[in-house]
Amino acid sequence: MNGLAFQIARRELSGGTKGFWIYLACLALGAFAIAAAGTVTDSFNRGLVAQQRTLLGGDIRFTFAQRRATVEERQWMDERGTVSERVSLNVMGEALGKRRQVDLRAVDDQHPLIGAPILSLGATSLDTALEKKNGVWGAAVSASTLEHFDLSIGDEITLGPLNVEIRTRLDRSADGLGTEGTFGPSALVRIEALIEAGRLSNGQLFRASYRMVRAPASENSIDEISTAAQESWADAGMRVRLPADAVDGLQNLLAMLNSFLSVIGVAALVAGGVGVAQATSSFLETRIASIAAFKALGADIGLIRASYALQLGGLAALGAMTGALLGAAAPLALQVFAGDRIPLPQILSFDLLPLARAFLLSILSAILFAAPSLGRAVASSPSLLFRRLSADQVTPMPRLEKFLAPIAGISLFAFAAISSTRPMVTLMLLVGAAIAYFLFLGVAVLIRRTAKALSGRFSGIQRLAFSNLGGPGSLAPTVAPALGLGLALLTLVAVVQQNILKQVQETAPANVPSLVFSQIPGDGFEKFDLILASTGIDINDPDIFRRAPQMLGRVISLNGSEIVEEEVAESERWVVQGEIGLTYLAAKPPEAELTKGRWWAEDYRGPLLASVEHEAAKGLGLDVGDSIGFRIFGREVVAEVASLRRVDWGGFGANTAVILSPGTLEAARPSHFAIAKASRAKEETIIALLGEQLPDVVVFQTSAFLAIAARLLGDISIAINAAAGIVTVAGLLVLMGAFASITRKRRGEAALLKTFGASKASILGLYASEFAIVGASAAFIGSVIGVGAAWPVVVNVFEAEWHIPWMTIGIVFGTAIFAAGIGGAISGFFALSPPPARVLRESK
Amino acid sequence: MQAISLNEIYLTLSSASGPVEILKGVSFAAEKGETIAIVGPSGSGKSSLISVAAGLERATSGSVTLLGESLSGKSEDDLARLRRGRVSLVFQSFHLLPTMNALDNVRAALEIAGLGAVQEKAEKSLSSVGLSDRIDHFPGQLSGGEQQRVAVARAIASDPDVIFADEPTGNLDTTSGAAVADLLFKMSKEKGATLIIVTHDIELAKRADRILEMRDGRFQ
Repeated sequence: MNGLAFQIARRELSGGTKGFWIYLACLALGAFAIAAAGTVTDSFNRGLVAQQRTLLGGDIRFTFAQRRATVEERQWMDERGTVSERVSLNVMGEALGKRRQVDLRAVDDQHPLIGAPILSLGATSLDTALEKKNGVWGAAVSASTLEHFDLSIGDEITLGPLNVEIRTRLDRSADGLGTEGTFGPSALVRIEALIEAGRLSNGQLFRASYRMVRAPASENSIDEISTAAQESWADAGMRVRLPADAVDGLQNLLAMLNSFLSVIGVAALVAGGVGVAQATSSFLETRIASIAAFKALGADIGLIRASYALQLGGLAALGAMTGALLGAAAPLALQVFAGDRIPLPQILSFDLLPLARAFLLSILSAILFAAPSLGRAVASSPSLLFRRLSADQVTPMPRLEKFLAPIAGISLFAFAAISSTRPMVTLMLLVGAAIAYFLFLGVAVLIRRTAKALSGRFSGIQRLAFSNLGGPGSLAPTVAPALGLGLALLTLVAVVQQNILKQVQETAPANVPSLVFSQIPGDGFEKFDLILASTGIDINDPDIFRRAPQMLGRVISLNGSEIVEEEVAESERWVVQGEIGLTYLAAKPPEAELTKGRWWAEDYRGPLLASVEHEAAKGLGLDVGDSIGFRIFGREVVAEVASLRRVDWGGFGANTAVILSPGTLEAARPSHFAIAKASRAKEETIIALLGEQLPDVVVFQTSAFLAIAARLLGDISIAINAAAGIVTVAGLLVLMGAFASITRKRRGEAALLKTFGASKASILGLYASEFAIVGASAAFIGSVIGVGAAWPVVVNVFEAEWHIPWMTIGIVFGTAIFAAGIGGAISGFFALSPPPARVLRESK
Repeated sequence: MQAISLNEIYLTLSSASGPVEILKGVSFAAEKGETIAIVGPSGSGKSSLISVAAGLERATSGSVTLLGESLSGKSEDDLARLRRGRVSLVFQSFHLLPTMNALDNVRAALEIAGLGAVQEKAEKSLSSVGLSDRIDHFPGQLSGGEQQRVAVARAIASDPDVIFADEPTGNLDTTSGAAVADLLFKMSKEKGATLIIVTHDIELAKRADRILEMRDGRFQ
């Protein structure tokens, strides 16, 4: 029996696979998207893992905030390997009358322990570039520094307390990803230069890190050194990082990206699945006579099913395999076409796992969408087959297919989720896509019913358009879900993107401070206030100006117990992973909304109290009355949580996770930070005045950063839009399949209408309007679903201000109607091409 | 008055094996109200002849006059306009619109012809073919005989001047075939419409005023 089924399948397929390109293309597209998601993220993961030691700058890294390692600490490190020291700080750069914040890093002569920086234009080695020559220290600066200050190699620049000569351009640091200085001007100098300038005394704002390459003769492994460091220096505020930690954030990002791309792939399979169902049904229609003939000859359902399942399965395997293999080439294509623009290291290799995953998911999708048509065709009686199947003569599906299709559907989702790096996220996204798909099926039913009801109100060609939409063989169930799903995803991405862009370009500049000042000397803030007031800034208006003490502290205990990072909610883990900004305030900031507890009295000077941001408190498991311990200025302090409060992170105000009560910390006379809203002209005046009178104050201009953010967002948006576009392409493939199928089916109808006296234009209008109505309905519901799905992403995930970008939606909407209408008209044109007499003769 | 006039019609169609000469200098004329049966073996060019006469196919050479208008040089849309409401066709395989029920199939043709009182005419026409109780059925829900009766109802609903019927009973059993033929001849007689009927059925052909026999693209 199996041999016979194979023989029949082989003979039938030898006649060619005409009309099957949509079937193959839909499966190949989905398989490609899933395989590409896997192979691309795998290639980056491999690259990151291979580079993790280089990215950390050694085998292990020790970091201190606001102080360098003590002699004992440094000795402890030196005993275990070769150590290189680096400090990072923000300073104001000044040259040729321009002042701007510069990200300054200072290194010793051991730097780099691993890898090498990429230098250009001037000195070719760091030693030559950074050395002190003729009493002037050297610096390597980023291209953005040269550009902003309009400088060249050999020019001098003031970097905070230093006056240095630019000796080379730093294009990529030894342990950096991407181009140096992407986020703003940066410079590299020798640590000795800063020590000489007295800028590295304890308590000043800087971060010191020590990279170590383990001595080859060392008896201790890196893990042992790490454990020993944490045990020996537990109270020293030392943070230890290993190579894997250097890339874990990026790997998490890649895992998220993989989930997102995989879901797009499965969504493409679902949208394209409609095309698979349509192509299967069209294919079986052409085989109805054969099926009936086989049955008349005595073939049983099993043989016929096996024969056609072999044909459909073989073609599905071909489509899935083609897509998966194209997906295997995606990392290479990415490297060739966008290698320079992607700052992540990539290692190419042929990995079978993502390809197998893509192949399996595509096959499951083919079973899900092809099984119902196959089941109905093979189960129909020979007489019915000769009379052609129609929607009104639906044969009940055999039990096998009745169960096979839903099992394939469940398996598709379950396997997609289980094999994903983020199963829950993937599952949620897939369930969302499935709900959207069923909504579109509902829309298709609605279109059919409405069209049927409306057809009576129109006459002639218009009535036929509505009758076609409402009657058997309607376009709606095919085109609406496929096109709608693609448009919904496209709208979702476009709306999220537009909202974030608006946030960065319009909302944020209006709400956030235009200037952020740090390192205002603890004994110079009165002078600072006077300088700002002299420029016309109303320093008494809390909506224009705020200033507060600035401290870096690390959360070290919760209710007396040491922090266990894994017990803290992932979204709030940043609070305990390093130093966080802290301040103390007497009065409650006007915008602070307490969700629990009470603010302390303005004259309170008792034991330390804390007001904690409510989400952070939830993540840490803190409530009012609990205690939270910090290390600030090398001292351990414990505060009682007095209140929980809501913070508008994008707003103007005291946006720190923890605000402490004054009193205990005032004696330290910490430096202050301030925020202000000012016009661009005032910004420059303030920066210039501070340069003359308080040169140590670092001023950060948010406008420059927001411009960079908008540019980066634009780059990312292109990639995300391209990925989301895959589902739309699947929808368009189905649409094209519908065009092709409609052209075949409507030839007879067009010829007949001509015999009634219908003009070409009216027949073209008929098909254009049919497709346009379905396109418009799919686009409308797709837009509603896309906008609805974008809202929680914008408001909850990105915490951005919500608005509906009508223009973008209008473009998506209009393009969908136009494409569908034009496609329908083209189908009509082809349907009209043959002479009516020939069509009517052929369809006798 | 002549309803149809064909003069020295030649028709050559292309095929995979090269051009095929279908009609080889055919001439004939039909008076208003005349019924003509065209008989002949399969492939003799009967259907092609009525396709050319109805303006569905362009003759390779020769001239056609339909309802007093020469078809030469007319565009496809001009030909469509000429047929509107005045020329009807009935096919062997019915060619109903599958997405419309029986009533709408008839109404669509009337509406395209731009005629008034569409509902009334369609219902009356369907009633005249005995399908009053099947007007909301789709073609897929009707038997072959019923489908052909809908096709006849559609053809006669506009009171056309000319009806071309291409083997209208070819796919029907004897009883249904006889009923359909009765309808066509009755319509022609009552309304004075010219009926050109292509058939293999000699008994049916004998009911026409004239019988023309075709062989190898020519009248015998």
